[in-house]
Amino acid sequence: MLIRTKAARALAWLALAALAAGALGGCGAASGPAASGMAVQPDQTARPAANPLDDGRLRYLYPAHSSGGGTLLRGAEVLYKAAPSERITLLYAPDEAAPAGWQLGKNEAEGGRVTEVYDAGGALLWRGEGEWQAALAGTMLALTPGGFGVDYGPGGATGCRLIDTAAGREYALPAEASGCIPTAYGQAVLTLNSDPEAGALEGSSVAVLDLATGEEVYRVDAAYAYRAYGSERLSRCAAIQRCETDPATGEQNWFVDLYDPATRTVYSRFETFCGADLICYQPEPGRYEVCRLGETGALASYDGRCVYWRADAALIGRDDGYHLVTPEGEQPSASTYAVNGEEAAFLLADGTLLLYGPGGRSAVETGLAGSISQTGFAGDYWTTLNSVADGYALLYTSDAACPDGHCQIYSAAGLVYDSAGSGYESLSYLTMGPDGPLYAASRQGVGGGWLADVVDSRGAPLLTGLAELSAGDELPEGVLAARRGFTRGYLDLAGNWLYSESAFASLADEDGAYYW
Amino acid sequence: MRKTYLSRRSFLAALGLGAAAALLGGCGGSNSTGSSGGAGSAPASSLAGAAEAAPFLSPEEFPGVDGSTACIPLIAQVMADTTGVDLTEAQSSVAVSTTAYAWENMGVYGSTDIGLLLVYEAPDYVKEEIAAAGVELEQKPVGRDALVFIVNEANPVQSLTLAQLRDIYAGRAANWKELGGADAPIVAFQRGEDSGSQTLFKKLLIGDGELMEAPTELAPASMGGLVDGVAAYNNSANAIGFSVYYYVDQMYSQPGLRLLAVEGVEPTNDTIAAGEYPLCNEFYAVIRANAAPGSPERQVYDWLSTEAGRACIEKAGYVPA
Repeated sequence: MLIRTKAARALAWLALAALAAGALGGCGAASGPAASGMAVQPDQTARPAANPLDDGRLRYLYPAHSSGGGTLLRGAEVLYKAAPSERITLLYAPDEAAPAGWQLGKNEAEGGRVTEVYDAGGALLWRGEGEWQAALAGTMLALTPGGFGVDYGPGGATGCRLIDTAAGREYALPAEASGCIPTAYGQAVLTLNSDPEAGALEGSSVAVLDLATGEEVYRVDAAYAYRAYGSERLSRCAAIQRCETDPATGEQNWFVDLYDPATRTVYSRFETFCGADLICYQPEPGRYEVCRLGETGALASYDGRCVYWRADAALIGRDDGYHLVTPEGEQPSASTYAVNGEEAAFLLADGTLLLYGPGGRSAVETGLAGSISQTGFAGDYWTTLNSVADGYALLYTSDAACPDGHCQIYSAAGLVYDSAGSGYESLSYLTMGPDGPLYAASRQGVGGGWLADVVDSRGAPLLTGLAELSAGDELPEGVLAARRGFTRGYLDLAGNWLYSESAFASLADEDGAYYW
Repeated sequence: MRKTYLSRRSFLAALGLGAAAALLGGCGGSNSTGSSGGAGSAPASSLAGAAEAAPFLSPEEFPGVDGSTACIPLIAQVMADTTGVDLTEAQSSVAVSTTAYAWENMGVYGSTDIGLLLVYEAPDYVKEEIAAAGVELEQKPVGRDALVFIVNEANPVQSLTLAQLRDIYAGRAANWKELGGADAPIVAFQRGEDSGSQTLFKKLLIGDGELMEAPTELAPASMGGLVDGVAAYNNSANAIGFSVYYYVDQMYSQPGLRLLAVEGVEPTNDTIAAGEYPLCNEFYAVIRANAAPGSPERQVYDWLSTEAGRACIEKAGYVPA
């Protein structure tokens, strides 16, 4: 629903509108959705006795040939196999690694579109006509009209809804709400399309509401809010994009503030998450502080933005590039680094690779100084750090011998593997194997297609001849998403299918996806 | 999956097409607007006359290939037989851009990485595009498939005549009871305009006859929105849809479907091979007419007409032409 009238800016906050569970469109205990129109017939073969997929986590196997469709699983169990006209979306709650639920958009037999939202256990939380984008936080369910979600930006369609699924109550939001970020702290962060005639951002405001009192606890105009992603997952915070116009010059400057609903703290001029629950922000222009989320006491202060911080190393970005600050001092670094939980890898301008892990720091000489620069390119050549895992760092680099690039894997002991001459075009980290990290190594297949092998850190193949190989949707270690031949699904490292289905999922495969 | 993102509409607009063009895709023997490369002659290194596949190309030499979805298993089998690579690995390697885009990639866009098509017949608008582009292609039928009609297995209707099918898709027959079925409205699904099945449907069944609008439905688009597109067959009790036989029988193979007999003839490999099933059509191998003698694409093109090539087509489950 689009509200074209200029709504009053004051929030017409009403007391909680207690609604019957039924009025919320089917709240309460309910089983999962009825099976899709086409029958489910997974081709499951060679399943091991203990299936590592059996962890109860929701997973979505994306469709191969369509923008819609796909297969939803809980653990190794198929929950729903969607038709090409249906859209499945996993819903992640803040600070949670596993999806808290999922939503399904589908067509009704009698016409019209409906949206259904389910929790991770399969209970129907909400069902309503139209296409909605759901967001979950604790027991709170926010619904934004349209398929583009709560991060749409300013100028979106109005008519957001907010429901406490545990209490079966819907909160009366301002009619001009075009975005609603739910929190687990009794607040909601709204984007209000309060003056559509003024332009997208100028007519947009952000308001933080205390749901218990109905009070507006924070407000900023010429702004919109979106969910902030931390270094590893969706954070509990809302990012607020705002624009300041310099009264003297008329110049517009864009900033992001970070609102933490747990502490009701606004971090002005937020820069970035720089570690797990670590943020960098500018409390005043030119001074960049690192602090733990929820606190304001600075762990460190710099004259440039800190993109990665740990007690013994910080990567600082300035106009002249990135610099690694260590107890020994500041060192110019390549504009590339890799982080993986407690691990980090940095490449210094002199070619030294620093590997940080739980056990401390290792320095490795790569000999790549000639292809390293602050911009990533040094003349005709370049080097980038792709990943670090279990003490192994994967680099892409180019040189005179391989101007199109090759991959190198380093450990603390030095160079472990170089893909030059192997036929592999690129490597990317996949998962942990029994003896260390495993990589997807892509190569040209017959007839112009591409294949991928699973290789270890020395380039030795474990599985070959795969397509669509990826680490999937946070799969357990040692499990991969792939297609082999005309079968696709989840594989273990011995090549057994843990879940599989035909690559030909629909009679409409030839009809293709919609790109607009 | 190889995809071309230039839409048909935008491409047509760019060229300002409108002129009629010579038809491609005629049945029969080698059909070229340029010089023939000697269809039917085996490559020097192949074992002409031998049914056993003997690789004559290295995997690196195999030409870039594109085609129809229903040709994916054939492409993989040809890759395996002509290069010796493992069949499963060849199957993993196949990526096609589907019928209309495959023709356009070779015949309109000039994709230099595509040297060979294994493909069903092009839609008329693509034939016009290719003619306008002036690209000379050489093609020959290598296999035969059929347009088949699908209903839910619980539908009591077993067979329809061509006239009854035309009545359904013209909207003249709107209830299954008119055709010996239940008292239920007929929901007649069609396919996307670019699909090989829709092309065959129009060519083999509709011709110049009346065709009602296809049912549409909302479907997700890649950018997060919804588009109103041709509704996909949903196997509901009163639905009827269509595809090509090989895809339904060998690739999709879902339970709950039943193929209708047409004019009393069930679609099978045998009835298709014998021409008894009434809605048959060839599919094709296509190369550029100027493909050099001895080039990998011409070697494969020629090999497909040898005994080994025909054996390859049969091994993959198709009916050779």
